[in-house]
Amino acid sequence: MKLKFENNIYDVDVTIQDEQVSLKLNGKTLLFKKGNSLPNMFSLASTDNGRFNQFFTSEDESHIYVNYEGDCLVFDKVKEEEKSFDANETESGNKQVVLPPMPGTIVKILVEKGQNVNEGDALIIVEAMKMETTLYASIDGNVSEVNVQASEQVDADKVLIVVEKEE
Amino acid sequence: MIKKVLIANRSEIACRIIRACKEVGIRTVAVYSEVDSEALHVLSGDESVCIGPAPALQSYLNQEVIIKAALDTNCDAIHPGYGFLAENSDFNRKVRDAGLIFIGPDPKPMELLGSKVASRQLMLKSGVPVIPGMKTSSMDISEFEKTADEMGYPVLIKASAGGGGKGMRVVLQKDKLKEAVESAMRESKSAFGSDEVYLEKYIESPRHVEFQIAADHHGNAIYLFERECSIQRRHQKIIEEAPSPVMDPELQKSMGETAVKVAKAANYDSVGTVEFLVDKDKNFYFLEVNARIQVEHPVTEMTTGIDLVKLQIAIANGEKIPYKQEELKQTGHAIECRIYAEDADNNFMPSSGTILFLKEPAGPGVRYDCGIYQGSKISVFYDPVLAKLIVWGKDRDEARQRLILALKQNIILGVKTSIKFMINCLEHPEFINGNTFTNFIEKNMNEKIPRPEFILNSALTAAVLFLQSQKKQLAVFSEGNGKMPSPWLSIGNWEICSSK
Repeated sequence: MKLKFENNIYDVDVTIQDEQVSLKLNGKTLLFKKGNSLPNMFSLASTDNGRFNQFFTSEDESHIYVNYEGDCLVFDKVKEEEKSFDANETESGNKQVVLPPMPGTIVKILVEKGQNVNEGDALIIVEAMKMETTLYASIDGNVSEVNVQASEQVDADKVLIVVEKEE
Repeated sequence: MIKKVLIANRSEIACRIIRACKEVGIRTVAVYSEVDSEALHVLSGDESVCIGPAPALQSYLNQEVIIKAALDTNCDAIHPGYGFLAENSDFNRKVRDAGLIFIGPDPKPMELLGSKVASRQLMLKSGVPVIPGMKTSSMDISEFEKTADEMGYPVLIKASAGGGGKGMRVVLQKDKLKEAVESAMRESKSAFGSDEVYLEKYIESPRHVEFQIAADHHGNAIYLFERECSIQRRHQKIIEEAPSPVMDPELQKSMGETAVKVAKAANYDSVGTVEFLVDKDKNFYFLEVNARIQVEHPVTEMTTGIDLVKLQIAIANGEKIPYKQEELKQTGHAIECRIYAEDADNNFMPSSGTILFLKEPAGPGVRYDCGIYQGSKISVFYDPVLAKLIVWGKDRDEARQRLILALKQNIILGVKTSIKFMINCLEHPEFINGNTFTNFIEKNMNEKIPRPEFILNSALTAAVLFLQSQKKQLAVFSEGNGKMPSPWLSIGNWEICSSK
């Protein structure tokens, strides 16, 4: 099974025998002890110190959520056909695809199509939950696409602006 | 006498007010926007009324619809909570003109204090110390530039009608001033409906210390001591405590009496908060008055034993404040954490989604003012506060330790939360030593604390074990002979409080 966490893909397999849990992680094997657990709470102890810690779990269609003492880890479920998924595809060094941080409203567009920008230049201001966020250029280049207008409502997957490095 | 109240708010504060009303036998009407139809506050009220579509301007800020809802349901009062219409003096007047009681101050002091510029002028006249800056708001950028040049940078842009850090910008140098003023105007316009902003000197490394006050219609005014709210991100408080680590009896008395002076100068007649900045030499400057019940009011309730919402209702009823200043005492120490749906690793970006699992913390001295339940949807339309966790201890360190434990036991799955970040703040040596300045987060919390490897490995293991057990359960259910999971694991948190 593959899980994605903070841009890393983890190839994991877990086998359980009595209280011994073994985690195969990217080819390496780690051992845990499983204590009294619930369907959505797993009590696990690593073999080095033997102390049990409680991990609460839940899922939706595309994520698994794990909470350990207030620290929430969100894993993306990786489907087999997405094996070639490259997190940085949209931000390779030659092209920057600007997406909103979350669904929101466009406040102001600060660049025009065809304009040259430098890394760190402000491109666009988006508002969500009454908070303005300014998105900046991450490369030096030329604005090749501006796909939105001021006060337009956008979803999180809307490509707002594309900056391309000039050859 | 108030018999039935419409609560013109949502989430945890609406639930908090409903609880106070129920305690004193007042019936409650909750209001909600279309996306909030299943929100906790709607389920908690005796009755509920839909007031419009999701955007706040069309629902929670829609004055006419809210007043009509109160009249239609035979309410005799409206409680505005905090945020939304709480400090809107037009709304305050309209409520009264409709023959209803507004649970809050008279519109005149509200209007006066709601304008940071007008309240500054009043304080100057009354001999209350204020921070140097522009005397009035302006639309003229050159006026901002002139004042900033005279005082020197850094400067702070503030919204006249502002609060909660909305419409506020720190400007370090001149070439950033224009952009900051314009941005603050836009944000203020969208949050408060007014684009009036002004500029003042930015005091570096100050503490934010505020005094809770209460004043009635009979000329009595008291202070219920301070709260320190220096731990802020984006100028919005996230950790608040009482007493302030910097407080001593003389400073407390002097600031408290100044706060009462402020209340009297403005003819204030409700519960409210006078905010001050305290610099490193313990000089204090008046900032503003929050003419409403505040987010962090429980910290005062925990240390004084006084229910501020009930006191606010009693004052609105025309009753006298039943306490004398000299009878009031601050006992022990309380700290509050605001639990937001946000990603502390990603510049506190709000996080939306569904609460898939919720376990509320409990234990001695632990109070959880909650606005969600398991299954709640957190939409992008409103401030993403989920709950407030308030803890009392005999001293600061006991409160701090209890709070850390309670935060660890507050399991929320489905959205990102600020919980881990707040644990890190509370465990920081500078917090432990009481070195809480308003730049605490920028100064101390910049570096991400690395997560021990065993946690990631254990979490991966738990994730896979969970998926495996989910598959097994599904298989059992499909055969039709499976045991149902215990309802206590799936029902989430419920409070039985309807008195229909």
